[in-house]
Amino acid sequence: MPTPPSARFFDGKSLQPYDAGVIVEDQSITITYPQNGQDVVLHWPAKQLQIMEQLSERPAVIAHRELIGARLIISDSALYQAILPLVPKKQIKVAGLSHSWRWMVWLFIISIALLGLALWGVQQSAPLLARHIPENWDNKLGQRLIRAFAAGHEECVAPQGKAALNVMITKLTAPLTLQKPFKVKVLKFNKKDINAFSVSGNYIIIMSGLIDFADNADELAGVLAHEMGHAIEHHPTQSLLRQLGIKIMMTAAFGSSMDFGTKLLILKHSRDDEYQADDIGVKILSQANISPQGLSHFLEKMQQKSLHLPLQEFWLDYFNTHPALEDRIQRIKVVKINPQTQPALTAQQWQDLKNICQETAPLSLQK
Amino acid sequence: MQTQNTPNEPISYDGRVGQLYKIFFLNIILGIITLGIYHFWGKTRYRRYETSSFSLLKDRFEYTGYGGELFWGFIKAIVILGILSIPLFWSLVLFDDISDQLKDIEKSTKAAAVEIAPHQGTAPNAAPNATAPTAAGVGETHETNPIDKLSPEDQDTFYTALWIIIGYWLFYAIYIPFVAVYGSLRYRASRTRWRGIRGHMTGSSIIYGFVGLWHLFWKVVTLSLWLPFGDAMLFKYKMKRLTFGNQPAEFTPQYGTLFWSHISTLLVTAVLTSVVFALCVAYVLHLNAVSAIPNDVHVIFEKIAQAINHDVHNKSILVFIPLLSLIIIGFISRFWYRATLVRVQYNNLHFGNLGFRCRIGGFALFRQQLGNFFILLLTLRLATPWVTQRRQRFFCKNVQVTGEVDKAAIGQAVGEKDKWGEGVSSAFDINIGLF
Repeated sequence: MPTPPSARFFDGKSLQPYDAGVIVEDQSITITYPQNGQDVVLHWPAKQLQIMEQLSERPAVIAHRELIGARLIISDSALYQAILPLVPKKQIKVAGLSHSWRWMVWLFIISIALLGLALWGVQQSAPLLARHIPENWDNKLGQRLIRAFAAGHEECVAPQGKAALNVMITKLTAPLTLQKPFKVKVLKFNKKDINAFSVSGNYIIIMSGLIDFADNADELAGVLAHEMGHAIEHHPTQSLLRQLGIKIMMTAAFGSSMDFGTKLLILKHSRDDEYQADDIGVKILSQANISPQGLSHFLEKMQQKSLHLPLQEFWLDYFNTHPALEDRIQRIKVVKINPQTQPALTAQQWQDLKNICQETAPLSLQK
Repeated sequence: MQTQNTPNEPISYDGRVGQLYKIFFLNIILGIITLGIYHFWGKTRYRRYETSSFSLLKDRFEYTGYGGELFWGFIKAIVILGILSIPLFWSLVLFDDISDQLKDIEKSTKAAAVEIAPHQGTAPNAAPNATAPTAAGVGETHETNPIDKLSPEDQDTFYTALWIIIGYWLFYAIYIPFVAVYGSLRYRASRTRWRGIRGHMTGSSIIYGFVGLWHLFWKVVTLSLWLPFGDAMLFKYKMKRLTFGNQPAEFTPQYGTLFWSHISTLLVTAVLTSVVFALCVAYVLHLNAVSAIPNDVHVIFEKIAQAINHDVHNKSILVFIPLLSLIIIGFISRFWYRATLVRVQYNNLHFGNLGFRCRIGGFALFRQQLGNFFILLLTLRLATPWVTQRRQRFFCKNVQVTGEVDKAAIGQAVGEKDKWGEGVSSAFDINIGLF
């Protein structure tokens, strides 16, 4: 007896659609459709049934595992509910999620919380991991980074200048209990390149432009103490681990590293590191009886300089890893000055240090 | 071919952004928990919903790919690339060693130079001939290529390693993207069905990579004049190997249309940038109190040079602003070319008597893509489902199917399906959509 059409059928051999009748039996379904004036009858055993799409606001799509491309399209809920129990569970595919908006809000909260927790975990574990990285690895990492950065630049090695620099380092580090000494290198750069940074392995790199820019030894001592603060807290290695962790988490969550978001998160942590390095630097300076106002004065000069940046440099500077200079200057200015402060170097020593780049040599990282 | 009376069938999209967000957030959760491994299954679920949201003549499209296929395809691609990259790793290690050697040589040369140099100072009255060898010796330390100081074996190793590294850079930066695009398209075609009929694509992604390189070479050599021809030929190459069911695709490119579109966008860019430059020159001359514009071109250039030397800000105005204008105008005008390219691709593509009608315009494409870019940027990609919606609706608004679909004698595709997912494109996060 012909069954009334209750579904749409495609035989997988052509684009021709058919109106088909479907009868649900115990262990199979029977599909009947007209083709060339005759009824074609197909029996699809239950174990071969596959649900390609579940019935929702869209029709259900049912397939036969071995009849490639054959599709039964069902909009009738009663018919779908009758077929559903026959289909083996693992052969039911899901496309969308049939959950309520309320469930979706929970899902949103859970995903954000989980992502936040993972990123917080990265942030918390980075300092711990950085402290436990073998010294040898840390050194090699630092050396590799410096070599990449300093390619084509020589080390400033004028003996009197180096001696003056050593005096400054000794003054700053004498009150500290250090696990390993700082390896401070002055590299010859363009006058415009005013920067200093610490690198994994207790390396501190000072670009010659910074020495030229400093008005006195206290300013340089302030910058050096700040960089020592970074090195003491293992910030360079922490930062690398943090970047790696954030990238992994973002890639895991979104399928790609989301460069812009990753950068913002990294910037946030970098700024926190700057404040911490300032605090430690100020402490080092106070213990060494050097005025921290050298650092604040240096930062003020940097602030003045940044106000005169050409437009393109301003945009590059906008996404800087350092926090607002004004904020840092104010934080340093409120520190009580030790009344027994002395200049970081004598006038002659400072002059020698200023001339440190009169002699240069290929960079050596072995000592 | 389509005629005036050929019926147009719209492709509709009824995906819901809420549903996409549900999948998106679930993917984030499971992605974090599984450290990204779920990404392949999540991508599949997202694609399945996205694809089934398209319908033609009320019948939905279907994506039949599996997450496992993408995962194993990715693993296979990584393993193959890893093995293929062994010479690269070897070269990097050697290069590093030789770089250290070079530094040592440079250091010892420098030290030797420092030892020799004081002798020059101690003999100021010596005859020029007597000091010449010393001076030359010092000079040589700066001029001689340090690589020449390596042993012949080390020199050979250095250059071999250098060439291998350059070769691999070209391989990964230029060749592999073509391979990835083709592989992805082939996979997506074989996993997309409509009315039960799937697509199919033959050909080798490895060969396509070389074809892509060939056209890229000519694009560079001809200073982009080959670009429209290369773009059309690359599309033709892909379409020649694509079938919908057993019906092969046919693409007859309109080279002339593409070429003029390309040239006109270049001309517009050149003209507008010149206008900006002229305005900048006028402004700088005005700033430097040059009241009348001199007639002689040489005098103008002289005045500009004086202005630049006088104040560094003039240089910024004359270099930075025109350069920025060139980039911005060039970038925007290219959307008109891209829109023409998309129109030419769709309007000249046929599967038997089925074709497409596309009316994407340059401004619409610009607005759409720039909008999508900024939405993703400002929402840190959390608006990905929203952008998906925008993109798919834009597609449906602008592309229709022409021809009598119900009468099309298209049968099921023959030939093996891709067994290895998208392979290399999964490794590089390249996502080629059919829609």
